[in-house]
Amino acid sequence: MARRAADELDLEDFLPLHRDTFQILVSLADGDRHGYSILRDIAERTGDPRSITPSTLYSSIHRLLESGLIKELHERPNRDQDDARRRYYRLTPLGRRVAELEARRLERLLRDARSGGLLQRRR
Amino acid sequence: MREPVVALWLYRWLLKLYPAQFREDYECEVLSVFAREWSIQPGRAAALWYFITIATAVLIDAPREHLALLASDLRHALRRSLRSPWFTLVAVATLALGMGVNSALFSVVKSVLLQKLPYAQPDELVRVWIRNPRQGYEHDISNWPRMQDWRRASCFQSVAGFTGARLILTGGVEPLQLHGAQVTANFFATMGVRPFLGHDFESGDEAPGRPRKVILSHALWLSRFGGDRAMVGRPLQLNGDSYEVAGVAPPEMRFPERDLDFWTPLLVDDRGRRSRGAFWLNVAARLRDGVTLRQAQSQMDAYSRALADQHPEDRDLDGVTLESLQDDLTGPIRPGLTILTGAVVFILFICCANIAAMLSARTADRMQELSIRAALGAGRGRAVRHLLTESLLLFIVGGAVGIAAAYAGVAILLRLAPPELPQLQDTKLDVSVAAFTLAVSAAAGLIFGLLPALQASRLDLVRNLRQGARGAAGHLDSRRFRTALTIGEMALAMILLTGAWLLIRSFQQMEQVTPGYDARDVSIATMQLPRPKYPDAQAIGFYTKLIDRLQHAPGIEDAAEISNFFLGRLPDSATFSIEGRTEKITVPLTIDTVTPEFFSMMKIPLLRGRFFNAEDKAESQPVILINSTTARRYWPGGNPLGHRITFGDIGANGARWYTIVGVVGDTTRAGADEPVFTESYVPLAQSATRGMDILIRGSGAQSILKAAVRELDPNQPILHFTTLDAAQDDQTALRRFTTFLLTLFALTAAAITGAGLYGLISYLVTQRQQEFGIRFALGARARDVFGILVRRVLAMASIGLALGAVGALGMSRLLSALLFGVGRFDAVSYLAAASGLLLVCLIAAVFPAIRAMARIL
Repeated sequence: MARRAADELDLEDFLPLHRDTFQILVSLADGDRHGYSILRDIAERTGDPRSITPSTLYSSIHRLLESGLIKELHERPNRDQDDARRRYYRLTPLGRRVAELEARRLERLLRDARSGGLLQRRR
Repeated sequence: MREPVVALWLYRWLLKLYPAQFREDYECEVLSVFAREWSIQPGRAAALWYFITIATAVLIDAPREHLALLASDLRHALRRSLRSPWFTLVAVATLALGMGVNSALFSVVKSVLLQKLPYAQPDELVRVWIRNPRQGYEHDISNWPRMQDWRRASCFQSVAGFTGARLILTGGVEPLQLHGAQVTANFFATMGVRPFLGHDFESGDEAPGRPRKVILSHALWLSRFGGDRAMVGRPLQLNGDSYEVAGVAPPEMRFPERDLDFWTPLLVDDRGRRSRGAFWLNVAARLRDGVTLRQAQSQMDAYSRALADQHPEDRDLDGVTLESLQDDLTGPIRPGLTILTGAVVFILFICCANIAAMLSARTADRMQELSIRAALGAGRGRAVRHLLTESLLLFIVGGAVGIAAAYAGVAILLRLAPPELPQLQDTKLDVSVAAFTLAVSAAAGLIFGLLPALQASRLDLVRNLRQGARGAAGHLDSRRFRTALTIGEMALAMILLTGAWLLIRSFQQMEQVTPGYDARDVSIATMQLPRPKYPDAQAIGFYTKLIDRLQHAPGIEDAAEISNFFLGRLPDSATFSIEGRTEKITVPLTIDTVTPEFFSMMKIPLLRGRFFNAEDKAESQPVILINSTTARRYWPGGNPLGHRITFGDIGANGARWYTIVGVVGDTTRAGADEPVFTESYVPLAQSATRGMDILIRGSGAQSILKAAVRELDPNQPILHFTTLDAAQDDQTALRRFTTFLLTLFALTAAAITGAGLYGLISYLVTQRQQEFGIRFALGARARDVFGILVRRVLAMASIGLALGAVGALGMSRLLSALLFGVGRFDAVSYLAAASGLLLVCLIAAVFPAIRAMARIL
């Protein structure tokens, strides 16, 4: 029980996530991807093609790897259209928990904004 | 769009801002992503805009990446350091110690020996000394006619003379005895010093009959006159005469002595201006622009020969010696400081060797890990960076502690420094010195610590891995390297210990010298009566009455007076002649005026004849006592009693002949480490003297003396009061300071060497643990394994001690100036040093050995 509490506390330490970091975790939430695929996904979702630059992408990936939120895959998911240089990344359970917590936090913020009348509730 | 060659090249170039590690891992992919993004940009403008965006991102991200990496490396290094706390502690302590003693002592050396004198163009300033070998003085002082001769020498811009002076300042609440200098009018100009207030002396001020002038020292002006600017031009009552305050000297003016109160123009009567035979005037000079000391010396050599042809009195002399003023002022302290400087450099070497050995061992330990990492494809960059960060952390912490140690070191040095080294008191920790020592130790540590790491990463992995697996034999190179370093440390420590023992034994020898008098419970005070107020008869009267009062005061056992109890470098002395012998004796005989009870009071034995008594009056025949050294030298086997001597030339008109009435025991009044002079004593009644040392045996001497003097002359101050023991201690202060510090440094060196050896043996034991285990399994006993270790230590120690002894034999030449009663090859010192160090080595080796046994058994 105490251990569990400690874990929760640790997870809270990751929050709030940096925008780029969160976007990367979201990208990986529905499946393993390589770097370029993450970048394209974020660009499409946000509608901003320059939302994340290649160097920023990889330094974020580097940091996520170090903190254990994602991991690099040693097997290749799509052998047919593989490029030897590409590395694939997968959300770790820890990463998933942290991303969820961050999403909840954002949701709470949004809810607050709505209940405060800042945003109109959609019908 | 075309293949973006230029953009790619530019982007790749920008990415160099990222840490190498990042580039190694991701550059390829970043570039590939970039190329694909570039290819989908609609048109040139969009592409350009895209490039600007990503370039900006690099500029922002790259430094952040570096910081993150450094932080992670430091965390890693900190974890590593805490995992081996002993390693860290010993390394930091060693570094701090080495830096501490070095920065402290070098700060002292810099402020005492290297700091330029605070006068204009100080390199041009020299002292001019007469070489007077027949009287036993390599550096003798001069006189007026000679100074005038030197003023004509072309190598000098100006030549100034000076001599000490004591004046009594009256007009305040209490009379104040002032200590100052009489100087030629060009003295301040020669030194290149302008008065802080008022004006310099003028050339006419030296002429007799002119109004007297005085320049006050900055300190006296502040303490006595409250820094009143209106003092300039005011009259002062000095020795009963009126002096006009011409000016105030700047605070940095500390020549010819440090704590002077005043400077006043030198008044020389006609006889003084003519006499070439007397030696009383100090001379300093400023060399002409561009003339070197060597050129000036050779000019003066030629000039002195020419002068000797003109003046027959000069033939006994051997020209002049020019000495830079800087060297002259630091002369007495120079040999001691030089030796101590050498000692701390040795300590720094030992510390560096220790740290190098430790880092090298750590690298060797890490070799296997590095090889595994390399085998797994990790770049060598990261491993080397880790080692570097660890070393860096060590040096930052060690450096910080070292700076603190250096501050403490300077404070401790100043506390220990004897008062006769006043220059020391200005010492502050010198930042450049501290930075330099840190740089040296850091460089040594990094070079020795990292070189193996860099080599390791280039070595073939298989060998390292296989050796790692074998364990024991793995780190042969590193072990040899450490062994060599430890032997070097032993040699250096041996040199220092030998030096310390030589000095300690010298000090012991000196302590055993019997002074020839009894200093127990004796206080000594110095007085100087002003000449105008006290002509000869009055001076004799004053001192006779003073002794009479003291002897009858309660609590006083005995009292006596002597003109100069302690004989300085240049005591009052003269050449003399013996009646009936033709040769003039050129070894000077000191002459001290004493009251009759001096010998009985100081328990100086009478060897022949009689002491002085009340019959020896001014008008009776002049009598003299000589010491045993004089009697032995000039009347070997004979009886000097009844012989007559005279100071000055035989046959000169009015020569005063003194009859020897007694021979007294020798004393070490010149200092226990100085040779005994040929000495003579004359009675006060026949030889009026205004400056006297008052010796009092008994309690409450100071207040009794004060009261007695006040009764006789309320305007007469007492210059100096202390116990004879304390005064003797002052004489040996420099020697004690040097001996103490060298001993401290030698012990430090031995301790660090011991720590180094401890580390090495621990390492060895850990490395060979498996082997020892097998030996035990095969029936070896603890004694056998122990024997292996001890034999190893003994082998190392014998090489180290032998090298050290040879080094010490060479270095002892530097010490010879400080040795007393022991030769520089004194076997006892060498043996004591060797056995002491050997003991330290064995102790350092035994502990890890025992621990190893305990672990195995």
